[in-house]
Amino acid sequence: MRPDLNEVLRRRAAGTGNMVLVLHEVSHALDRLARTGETHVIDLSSLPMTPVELQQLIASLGEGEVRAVIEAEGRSEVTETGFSGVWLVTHRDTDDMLRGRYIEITPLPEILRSQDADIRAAAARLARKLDQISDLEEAS
Amino acid sequence: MIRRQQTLGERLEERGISRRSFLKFCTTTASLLALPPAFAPRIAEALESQRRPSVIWLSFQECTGCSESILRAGSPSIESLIFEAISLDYHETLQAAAGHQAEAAREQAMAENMGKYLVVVDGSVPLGNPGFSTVAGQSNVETLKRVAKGAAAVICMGTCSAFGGIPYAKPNPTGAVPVSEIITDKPIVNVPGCPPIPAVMTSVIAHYITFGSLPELDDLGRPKVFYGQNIHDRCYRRPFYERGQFAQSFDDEGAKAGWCLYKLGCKGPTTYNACAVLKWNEGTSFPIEAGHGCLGCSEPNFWDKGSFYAPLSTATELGSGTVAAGVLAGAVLGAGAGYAGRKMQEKGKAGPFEAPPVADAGQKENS
Amino acid sequence: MTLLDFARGPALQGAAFIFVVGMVWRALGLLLLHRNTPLSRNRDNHLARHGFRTVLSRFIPAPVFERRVSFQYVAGWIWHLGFFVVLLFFKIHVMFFQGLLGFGWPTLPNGVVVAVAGITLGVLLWLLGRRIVNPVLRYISTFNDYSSLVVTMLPFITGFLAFAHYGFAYETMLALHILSISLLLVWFPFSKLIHVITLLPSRYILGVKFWRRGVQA
Ligand code: SF4
Ligand code: SF4
Repeated sequence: MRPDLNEVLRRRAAGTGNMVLVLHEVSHALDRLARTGETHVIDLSSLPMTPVELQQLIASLGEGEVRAVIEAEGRSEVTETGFSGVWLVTHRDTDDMLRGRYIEITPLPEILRSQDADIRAAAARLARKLDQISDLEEAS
Repeated sequence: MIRRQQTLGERLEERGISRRSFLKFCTTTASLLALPPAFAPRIAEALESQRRPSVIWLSFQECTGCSESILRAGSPSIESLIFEAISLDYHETLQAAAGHQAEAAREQAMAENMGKYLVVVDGSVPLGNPGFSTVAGQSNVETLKRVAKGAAAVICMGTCSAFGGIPYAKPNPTGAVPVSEIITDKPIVNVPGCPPIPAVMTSVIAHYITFGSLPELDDLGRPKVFYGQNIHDRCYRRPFYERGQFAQSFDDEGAKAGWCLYKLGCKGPTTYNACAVLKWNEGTSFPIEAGHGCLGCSEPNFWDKGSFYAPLSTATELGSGTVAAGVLAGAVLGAGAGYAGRKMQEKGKAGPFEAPPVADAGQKENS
Repeated sequence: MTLLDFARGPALQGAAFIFVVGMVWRALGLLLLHRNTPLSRNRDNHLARHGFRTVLSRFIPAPVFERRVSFQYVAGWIWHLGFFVVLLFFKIHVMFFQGLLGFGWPTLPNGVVVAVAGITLGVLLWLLGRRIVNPVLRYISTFNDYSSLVVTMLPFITGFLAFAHYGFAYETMLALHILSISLLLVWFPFSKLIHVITLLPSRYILGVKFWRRGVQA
């Protein structure tokens, strides 16, 4: 048996009601973060919402103090919402197409941190660069 | 290609791909597989920690469209990151090696990874004559059987290897069959589509590496996450379908207004694929959004289901020929019946009694 | 071959073939029979015209029986008309005919067709119930009556389910719908449904016979 799709479509047009559910989930997760430090991620693409609802959700979270853009195989945006600890993360690919939208409840979204592997690589690169510079200096 | 000792991180760095990009890949892959975001680190860990699984890619009767779709050599995308996580040891179109060298590389990869490597197949296998398609003097059937023997699983990429595809279409001149008709003792995942959506393939491989198992499959061997819903159910033109607003031609007012394409042959209602959700060309759009009906390319025998432009509700074989033959046969039978009837009437009349009147059309009138 | 492939292909083709064969066969067979020569003197000068009058006059109940048969007439009219409206003026059906004949015609909005189909199915169900409940009707009903009613109703039921995406998946419902139509086509020439071709001619013949004898039928 399949669901009655006409009904599904009608309901979808009327809104899914998921926006409030998401806000509840955020609120619980934020509470846990405050008490135990446990982080949480919500995948917005896994929850059906009308574009209007999504806008309302983002609007009700508001804007916070941080707004960062990451260029990694396409642009990603990380913004802190009006509620500290609640972040909105948007991933796009090289063609600027939306690939995922997440609400992260964390002190700092993982993608924002410099990654250990990148740090190690960077250290090596910088050392090489210094070597080159000192080589050049010696030569002159 | 063979420097296996490198870590994933080093390889990424060598390619100028940051760790952040990799994180992004893992996160979006989890979304694609409908896994909770918490799985992203697990995917990352699995892709990194394990030895890169060896993948042997076999191309049989195919057009290379599937490879093109998946590799999209022209525009590197997040999906192509999967190729950092696997060791693609044999791919006729991509590998640098040629001739005996290439075959030797494959044999070596097979020997080293016995029972653990993945086999990806694009193209169907001709059984009509082994000479129809050979590589290095080996027919496709032989190659498939040999290589699949030591495989952990076989992934059929594209409709040709999954269901036979275009080579399999009537009259099937090469006697082509899908992989599943030859290999019966290995787990097989079908990733049909002509071609399949790139992200679907990478996600299936990522799933395999992360969990060491294949995703849940439907009765046609397709991963349910991607082939569980049909195009029609997720189509944004669906409200027009419900209201009976159909474009009559590709350039009429209805087409311009974005009405449903059922009448123009859309096979969306009977096609299970993720196009309407994942879309094509990095999520730009999908065929119905571009104004053309779905061809049903991820379904078996899509090529033989009547015209791409005939509505699903039309007959595929019924035509004037059938009707004419029916009229003819009916006329012969009718003449015979009429003759026999007359004979009976005459016999009745010739009898000793007056014949009872024969009604011409003895049916009782119907309400 | 999936169920839908079978339904759209061989099933429909075979059923249409049997339908055409059966219709031509039975029509021709009846046409070729000897007519019995009337023995009475002709008491009417406009036989043909009066024959047609009988054909038409029987579309409405005869005044004497009006009270007893009106329901039967009205119900019959409604569902026959509904049947044709749904068959010929539903968009997706016209697409089918267009695929077959090469031309189409204007259609009615889906909402209207769905309403008509609902009423038609309702009337058919009512008639079936009446046939079972009414003692006289039940007494004179045969397998031919029940089966023809059910076979006529099936396309409506499956069609509704396919349209509403209810029950099985669309491809299965559509296949069942086409198969139910195939069944109707096969059943048609060999059951009382053949009245479609015999009804008007037999009324005419009956009319002529009556008028000849001076009965104003
Ligand atoms: S365009 Fe195709 S998939 Fe979309 S609603 Fe119409 S028939 Fe269904
Ligand atoms: S819309 Fe249909 S035909 Fe086109 S790619 Fe998707 S499944 Fe294949």
